[in-house]
Amino acid sequence: MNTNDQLTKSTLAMGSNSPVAVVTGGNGSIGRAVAELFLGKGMRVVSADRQPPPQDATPSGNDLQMHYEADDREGAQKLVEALPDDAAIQHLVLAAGIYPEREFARISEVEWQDCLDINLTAVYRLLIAALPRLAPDASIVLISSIAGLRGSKGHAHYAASKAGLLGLMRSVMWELGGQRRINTVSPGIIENRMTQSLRDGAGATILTSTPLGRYGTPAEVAAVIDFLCSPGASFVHGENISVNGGFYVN
Amino acid sequence: MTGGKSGIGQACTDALLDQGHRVAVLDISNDTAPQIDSDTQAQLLNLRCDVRDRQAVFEAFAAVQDQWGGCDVLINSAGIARPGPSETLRPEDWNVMVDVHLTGAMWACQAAFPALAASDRAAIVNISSVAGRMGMPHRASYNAVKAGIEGLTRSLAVEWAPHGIRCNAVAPGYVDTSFTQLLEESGQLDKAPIVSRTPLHRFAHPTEIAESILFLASSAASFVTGHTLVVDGGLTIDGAWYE
Repeated sequence: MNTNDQLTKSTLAMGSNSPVAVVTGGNGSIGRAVAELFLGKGMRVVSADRQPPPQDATPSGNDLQMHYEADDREGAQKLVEALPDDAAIQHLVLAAGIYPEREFARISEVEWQDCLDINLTAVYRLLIAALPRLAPDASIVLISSIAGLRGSKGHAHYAASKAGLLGLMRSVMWELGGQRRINTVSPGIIENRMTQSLRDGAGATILTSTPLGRYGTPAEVAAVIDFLCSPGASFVHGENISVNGGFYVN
Repeated sequence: MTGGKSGIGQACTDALLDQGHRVAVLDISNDTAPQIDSDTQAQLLNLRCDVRDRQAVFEAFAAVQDQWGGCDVLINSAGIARPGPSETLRPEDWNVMVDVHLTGAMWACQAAFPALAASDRAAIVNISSVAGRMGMPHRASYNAVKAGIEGLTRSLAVEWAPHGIRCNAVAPGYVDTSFTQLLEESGQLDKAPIVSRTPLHRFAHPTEIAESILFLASSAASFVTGHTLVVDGGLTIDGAWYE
């Protein structure tokens, strides 16, 4: 694993000429699970995150760490410019995000803006920066949420940002060209640190409302993202896959 | 698999066999006597079955049980087409559409239930269509049964989850099959406007639909249930509606 704070062109070029995947939030629970699946296929993975990889991450010379702050206006451009000139992006998975909780009437404008900036505007910036570098059959996956489809009491800013991703995805899809594809996944309640407080407070109700009777795992979300990036999904474009154990239909 | 002898169903059967699965194909075009296909090293069991006939469907599943002792995945792909103007649609054409697509799928789910409930990786995949979500002139019965399939899918996802059975659907857009080629040659289908409304600017290959079906049936989709996966190259998003 390359643990340099700043990815340089020389570090990425040192790897093989295997396809390149960029995963933002690549050290978070879902992003890390995605990165490890891609690494397992021999891809070079740029894990762009503000936090270091977890201690138990599988060491790999193809795991290229880059410090990335989603709310840095220059972050997207810096990330794309750090790629070697000849490296096309095969998979772009944008999993960086925050999950703030606040009663709607108490959400300050700063909190609202921060959430939209990190969850939605950062995705806009990365898509703009990455568009010229996408492989002709590249696959982009954004992470929406059940909150983006149904709303979420106490998370209006989060739900708005996640619904915004759906509108963004369904509009950008017309301008990618070639056989480039963009899709979203909408996880339900996944067992990770982000949902800890929610599960502590409403876990029993959530489990009762989930037909499969359990929380999802980051690996289960990653497996769906992996499918969307695979040749098997070559005609899946503009789709949102719910990964929620049936929560949404119950 | 019901209806596994042509188009998407055939592509799905081929893909399942390629992956080493044993496949029982329940199709009305099969011979009367059950046939084990020797070319596929006994991995393929062909059973003649009219899915409208509930007893025949149960007998077919009993034959699968006898042959292989169980069933992990059910794929409902039997289907027909009876297009025509709604104001003069004949009762028999409406009824056969409902019977084959919707009622047939329900009987197959019922017949497969005991085996699926006993499996530790049970999944049902139904075939809807973009027609289940759009309005299409002269396709009222098709649109209605495909919307019905999605309702059935959601209901079984919730009802049978406690039995460990996931239930999802795939909604294909336009696919290059011998059927669509026939429609095009006879002037009933004009590809150009459909292709121009599809962001990927082409029809799908049947294998691309099969891959999505196999994904939903696989452990990679272990937390996906009640979902209809649209595989249409972006057609139904219609984000360029104002043009």
